[in-house]
Amino acid sequence: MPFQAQLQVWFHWLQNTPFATNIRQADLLFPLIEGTHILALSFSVGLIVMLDLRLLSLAFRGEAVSKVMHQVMPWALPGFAVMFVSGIVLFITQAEKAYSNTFFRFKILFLILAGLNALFYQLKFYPHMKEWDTAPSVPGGARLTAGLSLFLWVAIIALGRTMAYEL
Amino acid sequence: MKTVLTIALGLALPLLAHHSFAMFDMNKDVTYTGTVVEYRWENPHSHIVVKVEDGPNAGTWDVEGGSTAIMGRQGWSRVTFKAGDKATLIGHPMRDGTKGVSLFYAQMLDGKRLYHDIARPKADGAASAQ
Repeated sequence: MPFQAQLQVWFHWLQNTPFATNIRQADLLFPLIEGTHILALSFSVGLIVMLDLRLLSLAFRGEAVSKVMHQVMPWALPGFAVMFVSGIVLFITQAEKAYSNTFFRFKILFLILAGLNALFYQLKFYPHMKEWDTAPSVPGGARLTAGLSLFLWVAIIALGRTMAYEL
Repeated sequence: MKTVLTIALGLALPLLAHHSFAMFDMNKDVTYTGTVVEYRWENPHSHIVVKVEDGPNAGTWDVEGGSTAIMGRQGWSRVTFKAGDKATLIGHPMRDGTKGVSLFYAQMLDGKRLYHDIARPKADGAASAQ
């Protein structure tokens, strides 16, 4: 069976597990999980935006990048974990439908790109942060990753919202 | 990493030509009378899959309603329909001709109408879809 057909079969099974069905059929569970997913955005993406704005020299210009990063990350990472787990659960409840949704596919693609982008920053720029930590303007490459991060997260949220309006 | 990217692109590309999101023709009220194949009382949308035997709308249609809370306020419940029941559903079909429908209301045997959501009366006594 081709890879995509296999996935389709597996996602069909996944969304019909008792776990997924129970969440869908309860009155409150689905909206509660959905609400948690959205609220966790403010902690994860909201705070990542703060760091991106600092890297782009658009906010907190007087603060060291490391300071902004160390203030922001202890909230952004748990926020991301909550968003990730609630997102996985939402996906399980409608795996087959989500899989066949174009917007969802692009959302996953962009999420992977955002992850690679963050990883790239962490490997390439984070180790040398001391050299430009307090400078108002940071190296072009780091600025580029910050701009890309902003773009990707806005796109991910927009795609996530849009997928709900396609059958 | 390259593999992940390749897989992600592989997933994304084949569906570039998928249908758009201006899905339903809300100006069309079509009546589907048939047998319920599946009644899914669930979130975020309830579904009534109905099989129409003959006529221009023959076929199996997936009629999408609202969340359980929204439809519950309109008088629906998890036992409103079950597979095998006869049903008359009025809804707005997909623009692209696929067999999906946005529920307008269900015409019940006792003369009552169960609406998808809050709906305002039209001149003929039905309700308009927002």
